[in-house]
Amino acid sequence: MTERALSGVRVLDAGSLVAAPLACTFLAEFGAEVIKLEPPDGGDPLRRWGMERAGVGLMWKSVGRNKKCITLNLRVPEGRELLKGLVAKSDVLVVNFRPPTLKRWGLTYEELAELNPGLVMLHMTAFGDGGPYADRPGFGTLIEAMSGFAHITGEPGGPPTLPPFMLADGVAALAGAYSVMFALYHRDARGGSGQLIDLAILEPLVRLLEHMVVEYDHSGSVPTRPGNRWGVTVPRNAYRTKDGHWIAMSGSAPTIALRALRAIGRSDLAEDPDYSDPQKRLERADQIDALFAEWIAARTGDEVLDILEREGVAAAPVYDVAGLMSDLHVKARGIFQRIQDPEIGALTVQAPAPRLSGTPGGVVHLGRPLGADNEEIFGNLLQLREHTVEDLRAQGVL
Amino acid sequence: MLGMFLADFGAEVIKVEHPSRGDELRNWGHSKDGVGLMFKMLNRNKKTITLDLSAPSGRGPAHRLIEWCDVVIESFRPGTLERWELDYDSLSRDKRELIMVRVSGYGQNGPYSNRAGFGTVAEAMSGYAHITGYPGDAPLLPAFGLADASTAIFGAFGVMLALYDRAAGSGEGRLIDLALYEGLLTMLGPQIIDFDQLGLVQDRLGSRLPFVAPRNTYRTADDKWIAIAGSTQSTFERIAHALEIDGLLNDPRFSDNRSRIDNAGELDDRIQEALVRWPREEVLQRLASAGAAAGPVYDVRDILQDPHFCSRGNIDVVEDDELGSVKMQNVTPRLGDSPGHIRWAGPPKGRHNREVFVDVIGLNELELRELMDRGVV
Repeated sequence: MTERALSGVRVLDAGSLVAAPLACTFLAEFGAEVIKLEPPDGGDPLRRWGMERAGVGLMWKSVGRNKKCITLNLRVPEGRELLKGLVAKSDVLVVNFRPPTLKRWGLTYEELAELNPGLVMLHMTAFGDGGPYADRPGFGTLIEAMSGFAHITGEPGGPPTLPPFMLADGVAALAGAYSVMFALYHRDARGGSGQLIDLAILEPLVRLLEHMVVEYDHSGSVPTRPGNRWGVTVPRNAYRTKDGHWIAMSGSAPTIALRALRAIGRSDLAEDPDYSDPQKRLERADQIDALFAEWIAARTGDEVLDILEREGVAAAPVYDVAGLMSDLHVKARGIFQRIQDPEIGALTVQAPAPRLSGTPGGVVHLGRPLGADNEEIFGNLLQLREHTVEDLRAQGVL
Repeated sequence: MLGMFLADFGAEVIKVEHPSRGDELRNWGHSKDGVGLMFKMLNRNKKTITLDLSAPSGRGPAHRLIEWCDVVIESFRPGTLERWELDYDSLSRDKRELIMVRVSGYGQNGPYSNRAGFGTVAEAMSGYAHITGYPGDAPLLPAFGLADASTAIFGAFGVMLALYDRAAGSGEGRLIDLALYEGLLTMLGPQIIDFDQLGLVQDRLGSRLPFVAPRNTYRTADDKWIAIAGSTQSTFERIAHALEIDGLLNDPRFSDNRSRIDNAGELDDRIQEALVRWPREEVLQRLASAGAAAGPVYDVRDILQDPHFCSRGNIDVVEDDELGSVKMQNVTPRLGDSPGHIRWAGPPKGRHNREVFVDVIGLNELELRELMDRGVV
């Protein structure tokens, strides 16, 4: 059996939809025992999101990988008592209830840490615990609007554009995963106690829009929608080829920008100080961009990529999902894994990233049916004696 | 950026730059008084030293530095460290607890591993650009370093996994191999599984999502923008009431999420028509009191003025000896007992040379002077 970095770490995933559960998925990929708690009636709404096959949600299958699935009704006192029993036997609890709900249910960090002082609790909400919007509902879309992302995405003069996938949730999930690791390291390698992590989904995305705040603070400039360009470097765009394909390229490093100019036959400009200096090049962004657009429009995609690769210029085809999955390099790296699933047969999903040499992540199984692991967790782990799992299910607690 | 996330939470991060060129990031984006602003932000809390790793006389100090470090982060083209004998196999022979992160465009193996790769390339190849933008328009790249940022966060997670494993069990280090497009690919959600199971290829939809409607940006009477997502049936019904859109709820084209997705264009038109009746503040009030989730599309000025951002301390002011004071995003996430904090903004090149080479790895002043004269430091 492969050695995993988080073997022996038990995580209770009491979150729903995307951000909080996805943080737990990352931990599960590296060997943590993740127990997903869902309300007995219908389970996590993520089970019904997006496309289905044979009545099974495909997104759920991927996000639910490696997790044990139990049901627990936290709206009834018996359910909350059972949760406390599980908390006492776990390392990490992940929730995304709004702050007033946690208080009403008596499940605040202070209350739970009395049962388990080593508990690491990750509390993910749209706006965080504290501040005027703390009690508001929120989805990733609102965060993508408020973080400044939508304002700078899209064509100049066009509407602000939201991302076509769950960006805010994804980034917050990653931040949640590494912050849980900070807290576990603090506890287990440094002899610290457990602690509460207050993670607003808003904040990690704001954090990534690095340049906006410092630049506004010092130059008063408010970035607007630049289309495909990016104010910090040129050339940088997606260009259409003669045969109707799109190619993205970037001269982010000065050496690459100069190689790019030479590759399109403009060695003269690579030698000219007005074009070789990155700051001066930025002042001539329109002109340089047009040179590249024209050169690429006169060639096929294959020709362009051949020449740029030979000259050591960073460029790539704009792939759709079919192009991506048939790419040689992607296949060679094993970025997708084919997994057998008892509900719908074989499925291809993304393999875990990043790759660790000694304790790699892995996909053991995909998302399981609602309550699939009730017997194991309540019967074996909690060793319930007074009630059977079946009784509790009949009472609506599980 | 990966180093910054670790430095935010107290790791002593030593940034090694080439003695004459420095990190190219110093020349990126806007500068003030000749000081790169993006560099200030990304290198906060780090110590900066200079060392020419390609010079044979730079190897000695490099080895001594590595002996004394827990983690090495590098982003040279695959093969470069091997040439300098600073690769993981050479280094971990003497130091089995070493953790090393290798960030590259395409990863350490596979047919493209020797190619030049940047974030833009990763954004195109991962499928991000293809699904971003408007139908019929060009695919759209992100207006910030999205692939780099997601790689940095995955890297921080990877380093913590390895540190934890080393401290809590194995005592051994790990090599972490990260390609710039792999993090973004993971975040792109159900595209892979949808294509695999149903043959679906997601195309450009503007601000819409393929699995929920309504979801878009809309213009208000005062020419500002808001974002709305009707992620659940009840949210959709609240939106229709709050915006007083007649007949919307009895129209069979909009009765459930699936039919709304099929008629998303008409639905967006109805919502847009309704919204031009009120200015943004009023629209947001109406939607908030109806319990419908909506948010303003903020630019950077709005962010700096918003009471919630201010109350959470999301923007910090850092004193800096080059720029005076600088505002930047505060540390996230917040940890109760071992919180992160910003100690200083990105320092000038070589600021900590003496502290690191003399005080830490034990060169004497003369040796340091000699390395500096030869341009190695």
